[in-house]
Amino acid sequence: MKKLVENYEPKFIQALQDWENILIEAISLFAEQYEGKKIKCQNTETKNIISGEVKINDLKIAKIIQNVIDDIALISYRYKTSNFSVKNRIEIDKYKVAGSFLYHFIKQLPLDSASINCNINASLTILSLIEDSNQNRIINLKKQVTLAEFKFFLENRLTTPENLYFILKNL
Amino acid sequence: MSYREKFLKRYKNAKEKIEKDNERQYLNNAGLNLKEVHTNLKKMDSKTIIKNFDLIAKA
Repeated sequence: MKKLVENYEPKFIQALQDWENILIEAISLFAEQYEGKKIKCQNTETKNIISGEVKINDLKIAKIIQNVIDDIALISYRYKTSNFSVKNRIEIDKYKVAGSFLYHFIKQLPLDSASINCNINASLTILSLIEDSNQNRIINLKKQVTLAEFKFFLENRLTTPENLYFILKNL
Repeated sequence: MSYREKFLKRYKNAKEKIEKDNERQYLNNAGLNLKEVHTNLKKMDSKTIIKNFDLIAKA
């Protein structure tokens, strides 16, 4: 992130840092609620059910967050959608964050097992925990997209954070 | 210490490790590039080396 954003306006860098903190907060809330808990996942095609424990890999989480920050810096730069005059965190399009987050979250995981459904659910739950300054939950994608649709987006290896941003923005 | 604070600490440690790894990787790559330059330079005669440096200077 340092190299990518060093020429940006301080307000924009601040907005990126705010989003980093927001993501940490949401994942921390998720981890507090689910880490170590037993869950069951079903493969929607084979109907196989696997059970396991929710594990949070700190390194993977940190990598996901760093990648998301790099992505939104890059996409904002490319499309000038934040105009580098960001007054607060919400002015960075939340769908940029959501698209990139889903992409990197799922990229870290195997796609050919029942656990992908759990992981997609986990990523959507984390996003749904994000609140704006008025404590409104602002990214509730669970109502807008089905699990199967998400799976389709993510299983397509050509999917990029940018594509997901446009898909989510136009839902 | 609250769960959030503990988690933040975990995140900071992981981020630090990633940054160190990235830096190490960057230095390794830079080292490999220098090695390659050195190998190529050894293969060239002095006139070609000067010509190449002139080209770089003009770029």
